[in-house]
Amino acid sequence: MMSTLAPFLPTTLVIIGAFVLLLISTVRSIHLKSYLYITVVFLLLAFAVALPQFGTRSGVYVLPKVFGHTYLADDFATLFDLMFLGGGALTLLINAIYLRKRDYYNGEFFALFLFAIFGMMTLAHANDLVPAFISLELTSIAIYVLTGYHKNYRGSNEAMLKYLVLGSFAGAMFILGTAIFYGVAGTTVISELAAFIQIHGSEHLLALSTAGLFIMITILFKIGAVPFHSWLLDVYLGSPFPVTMFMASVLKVALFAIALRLYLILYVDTGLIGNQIISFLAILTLIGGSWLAISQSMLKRMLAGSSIVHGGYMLIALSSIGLGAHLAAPAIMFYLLSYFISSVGAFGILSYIAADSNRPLTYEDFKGMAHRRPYLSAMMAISMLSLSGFPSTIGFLGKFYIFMSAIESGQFALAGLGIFIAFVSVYYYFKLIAMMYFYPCEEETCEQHPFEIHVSTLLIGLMALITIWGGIGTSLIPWFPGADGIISIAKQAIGSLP
Amino acid sequence: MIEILETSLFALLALGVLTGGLMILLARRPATHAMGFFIALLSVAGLFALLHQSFLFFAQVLVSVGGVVIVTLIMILTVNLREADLPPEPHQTRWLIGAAVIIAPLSLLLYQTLTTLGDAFPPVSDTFGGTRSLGTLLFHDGVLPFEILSVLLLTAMVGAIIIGKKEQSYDRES
Repeated sequence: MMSTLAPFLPTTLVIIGAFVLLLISTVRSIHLKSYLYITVVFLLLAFAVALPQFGTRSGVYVLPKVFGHTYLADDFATLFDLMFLGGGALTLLINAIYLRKRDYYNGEFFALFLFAIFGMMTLAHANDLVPAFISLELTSIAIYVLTGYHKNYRGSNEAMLKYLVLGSFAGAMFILGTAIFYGVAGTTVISELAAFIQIHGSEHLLALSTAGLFIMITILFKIGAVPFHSWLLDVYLGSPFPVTMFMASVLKVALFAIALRLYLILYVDTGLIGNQIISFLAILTLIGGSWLAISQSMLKRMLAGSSIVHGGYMLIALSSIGLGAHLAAPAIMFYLLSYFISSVGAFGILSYIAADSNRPLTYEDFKGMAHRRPYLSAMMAISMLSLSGFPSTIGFLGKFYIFMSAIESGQFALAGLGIFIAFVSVYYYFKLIAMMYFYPCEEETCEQHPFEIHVSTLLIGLMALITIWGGIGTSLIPWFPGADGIISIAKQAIGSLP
Repeated sequence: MIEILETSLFALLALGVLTGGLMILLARRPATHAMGFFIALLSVAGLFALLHQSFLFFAQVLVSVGGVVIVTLIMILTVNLREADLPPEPHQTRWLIGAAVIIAPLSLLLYQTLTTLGDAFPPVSDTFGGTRSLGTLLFHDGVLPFEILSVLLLTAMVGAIIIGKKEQSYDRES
């Protein structure tokens, strides 16, 4: 009995945590810090339960008599579960100082946070388009609310409304695609769809391609690929810092989880039209995102623009999957991890500094930063180097695998464009490093701030260390995975797909 | 004779859906929007009835027409927007035509797609779409989506309460 229910345990723990937080959020005497730590405890507990499950299963339907073929437990989903849980806990802990210094957070904030993570986990496990859609909407609704959490700030209201209206519209495309799939194949179960496409795919090429395209539109919208990116800058700027960080890192991982599952099953060796479109969108995303990132003066907007570009790199690998590159799917997973680590570091430092400031941070605010906060500046520089893909950081290896997969699939021009865009990105990332190190301190008080020992700052430091560790990729400690280890873990997860 | 009747009914209902949609897009007053919404949803219910889908018809009438439209109307009455409060829309026609031009090829693609589906399905049995078969389907294949949906509704409710609540005394940026 226990073994059949074990795959549900992490998800159950997260949802129980959300209910507990909802129940105790009415108690006024509980401090915000307690809510934070209760949330983190539930996330880490679920992480600890999910960790031993990795590597044990390759595609088991959980409780098939009750759920049919809708809920799949495989290494692929477990790996993504681990990323959501670890990422969620990291996001909260790194923003602990920011959360403490703002008055508008309460217990419901953390409950909604857990609801969003619950939605992501069921999204990664869903083997049916209908639960996948509902999970996606669950995550989205929780994040719409989190986006608008700072109610007295106009930007936050604007961000919420924009995201809500456009996001719901994009979500409708998913239903349309699902309906067409159902109309053709008579099923919405992803693995049954794959079987249908293998046999009858060529007879219904147009309908199946259109359906896949509509579903991809929703995913591309939420990723922020270029023709669908117009919401992204304002939403990232208007949201509170923890939410921006959550959207840029963990939500992106969740979207690529469903994109990878669909893509690996529907587009590999089936002749469906989709690759060319994804390649084309990757080009648009890389160029458009770079343009947006270059033209910003606010750091949050710059990071938002750059997150579009990083989505573009992953689209390169996604299009390579359909052309038969075996490295592409693990490359995306590695890139997600590397982007997650680097961006969590960058957003974490921004949120730490912004906690004392009442306005959005610009490049100018970082002038002479290295004199005032040498440690934080060094960590920021490492994050920026990694985001730009500088060698000896984890970001370099991420880009390396992406371009390798593009070359493996024969998309040489796309790989070339990717490398060019990586050079362009050096401009806006190194501008910040230059501001920190090569400008004198202009403020009245140039004395050095002491390094505050706190869970936030320590975790930011840890992220910087992991960035370097992952980049050098040594195996000094045999049991601890370096870059090669992560790639083989990702390959194992991909291999568990049906 | 019956076929002609069905076709003309379908045309009428389709016209209703389109009229409702256009009313939502073009009308100036919020109450007119709600009426357009009402007409569109009711016509969709009629389309379900035309396909002998009794359950979907009732669900559409009860939930969408009876629930959603009423809630929309109550909201419009509560907020009580005046014409002067609405933002000006100087280039409305230009926007509409532009959007229509952009969407036209997409609609053509959808039309082509849906016409190829044709008779991919076997003819349905008499019980198809009835309350009984739907219930069996919902509580067999649909248990997981159903359960996640309950969490989704809870999340939406909590979110709506938080966003609607008025209690704050801070005003800090970013």
